[in-house]
Amino acid sequence: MSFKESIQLNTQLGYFEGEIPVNYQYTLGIAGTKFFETLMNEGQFVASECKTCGVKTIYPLIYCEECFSAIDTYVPVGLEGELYSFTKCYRDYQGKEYQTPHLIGLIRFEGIKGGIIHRLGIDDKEVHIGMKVKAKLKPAKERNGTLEDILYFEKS
Amino acid sequence: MGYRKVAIVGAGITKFVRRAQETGPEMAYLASKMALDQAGLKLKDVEMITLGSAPDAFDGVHMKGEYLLSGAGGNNKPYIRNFVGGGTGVFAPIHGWIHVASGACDVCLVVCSEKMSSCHPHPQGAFLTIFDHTTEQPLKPTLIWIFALEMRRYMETYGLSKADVARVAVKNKNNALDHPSAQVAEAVTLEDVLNSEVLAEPVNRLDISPASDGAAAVVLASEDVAKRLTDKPVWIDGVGWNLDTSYWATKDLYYPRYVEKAARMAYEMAGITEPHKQIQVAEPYDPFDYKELHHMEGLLLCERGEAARLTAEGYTARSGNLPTCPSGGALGVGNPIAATGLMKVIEIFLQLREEAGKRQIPGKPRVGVAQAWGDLMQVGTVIVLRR
Amino acid sequence: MIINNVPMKGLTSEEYEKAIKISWKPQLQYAWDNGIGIGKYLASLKEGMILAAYCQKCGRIMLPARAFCEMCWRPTDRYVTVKDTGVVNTYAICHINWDASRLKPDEPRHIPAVIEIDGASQGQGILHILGNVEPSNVKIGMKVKAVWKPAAERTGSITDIRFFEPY
Repeated sequence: MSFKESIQLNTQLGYFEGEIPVNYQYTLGIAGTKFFETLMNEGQFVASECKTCGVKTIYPLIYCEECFSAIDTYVPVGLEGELYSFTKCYRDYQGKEYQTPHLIGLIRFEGIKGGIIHRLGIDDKEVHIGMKVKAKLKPAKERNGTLEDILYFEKS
Repeated sequence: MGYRKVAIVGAGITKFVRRAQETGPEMAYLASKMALDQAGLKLKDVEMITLGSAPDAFDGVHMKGEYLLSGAGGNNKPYIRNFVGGGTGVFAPIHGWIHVASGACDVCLVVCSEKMSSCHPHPQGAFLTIFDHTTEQPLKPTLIWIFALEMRRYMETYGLSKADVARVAVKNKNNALDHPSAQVAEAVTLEDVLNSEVLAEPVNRLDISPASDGAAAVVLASEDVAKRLTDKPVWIDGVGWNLDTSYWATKDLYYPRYVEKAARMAYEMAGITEPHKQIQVAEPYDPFDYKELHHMEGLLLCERGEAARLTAEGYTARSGNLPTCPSGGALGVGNPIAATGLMKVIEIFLQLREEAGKRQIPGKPRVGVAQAWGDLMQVGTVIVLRR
Repeated sequence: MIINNVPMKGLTSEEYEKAIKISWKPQLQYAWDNGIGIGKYLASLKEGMILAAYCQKCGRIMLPARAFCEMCWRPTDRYVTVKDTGVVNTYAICHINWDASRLKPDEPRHIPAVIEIDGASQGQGILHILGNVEPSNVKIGMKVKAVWKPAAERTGSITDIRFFEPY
């Protein structure tokens, strides 16, 4: 019976709509709090440093991904890095067209594992992999300890 | 049956808290590191990792397995997330057992981490889609409906009173006073439970375990490795899991048939023929007080309908013939879903090693069972440990 | 080794209030298709009838109607209209909303119940709510009957039955 049945008219296709009505408040964790508080208060990035194997990581971690040692050492990194890769985006995550295309880059820092993905404030004729870039921050008193404290990365 | 022997050789656990400062991966790390340290192993010694975590919607992180990866030590190793809802915490070590018993690896790290505090207005909301979207959700159910319905049917079938059931909450919350991970250990009385706020009759607030953040981990090893690492290996003697129909309203709500099937699978593997005589300590899953009774019966630790009487007689107290939830259980220690199940396995591990400290039951227990339950009230996961 | 100390202390309410937090409200909306078996079940509700499915292998008359018997794991053989009466298998009296907020004292309590429907195999229950009854008067084993919406208002939903009431 059932599997031999078929619905012949698409107007007979029924459905129910619904949603999962929750929202989230994420706290930053131990290492995340260290990173974003330092960004907010001191205007610079920090990496975590593993005392056992020496690996430094951005965003910082409370553990070493390589040797699994616990980490509570954070080292300042400044705001300058190198453009590792970039993309030019024309639409937002809902498919809506940007007024002007966005340049998004992955920025890495010398001697440090990991990196930061952010907007690039660079003319797209100039942008190239390997160029030196520097984070442009919001003024100190407008910062709130989030990724938006970084306005964009610009040519350094 | 051609399985290799598998032992637990180390355990780690965080405190269970209302809101962790740590992120999910940080919590997973703290428990994992502690387990490896206890086992005397480094991450490089771990060949495979299995991660247990409840629905993504709790943490609000889609693909939580990947999110928790590095904290669980999984980078660039054979790593997989396992999931059977609330039954996950006991399924995770079963999954690890499969890795080692099959010969796929000698050392497997099992990690469970749960951060429910991110979810607002209440983690219950993340559960709404557990109800069928077409035939049940339009009735605007709340999660607690199904537990209240099951509890009432259980009480009705055996003529139990609220007090008969509430004694489990009293026992477990008081047991938890001795557990270093406990979130809500309280010296509560029967009156406290019975007089606590009524949420969905017959369920009062203190009949329920609290939502928690927490993590737990164990290290599993094959026989050769285990004997090299410790003179106190605790062997996984039997494992079982089973899922009942998803048409939950059509099954016998007073008896967890799926737990019995899972238990029989584990007992057969462990050579247990008379569970109530051969098992000296049990950690049945107790997110609600009636569930401990339900699960004692499903685990064949007593006759059907007898669990409440045995509880009232002190049979399941730490000093009783068959202590249940000597840890304090989900009701007392807290309920970060997957981590809770693994906390129960760790409790049996510690009890059998006589390392449970103030919680230690007398009589040098040799065999214990831990069990978890979940999905749409339909999964039983059971593990039998022996020293 | 006895575990006496465990890591993590948890945030107090004050610390949590002060902590930097990132908020996110996912915009996830779904449209769940009715499918074959449940599609029939819903179409039947619109006509004011409860539809079950029959499996000739195990002989069960199952609710809700379904395309396959999950026990015998084969297609069901035919649909059967069952009665719109039944027996309360279990019930609860709920004082909270889905988000754990409390109902106000004057709001009617929700009374969800599992109702074993007459004409289906024993134990074949569905989740619904009870109405027209004082919560304190509800009993397991109570006979109840569906109270339907007027035909013109039915949409092919489980809520075409407003509730079940004692009869």
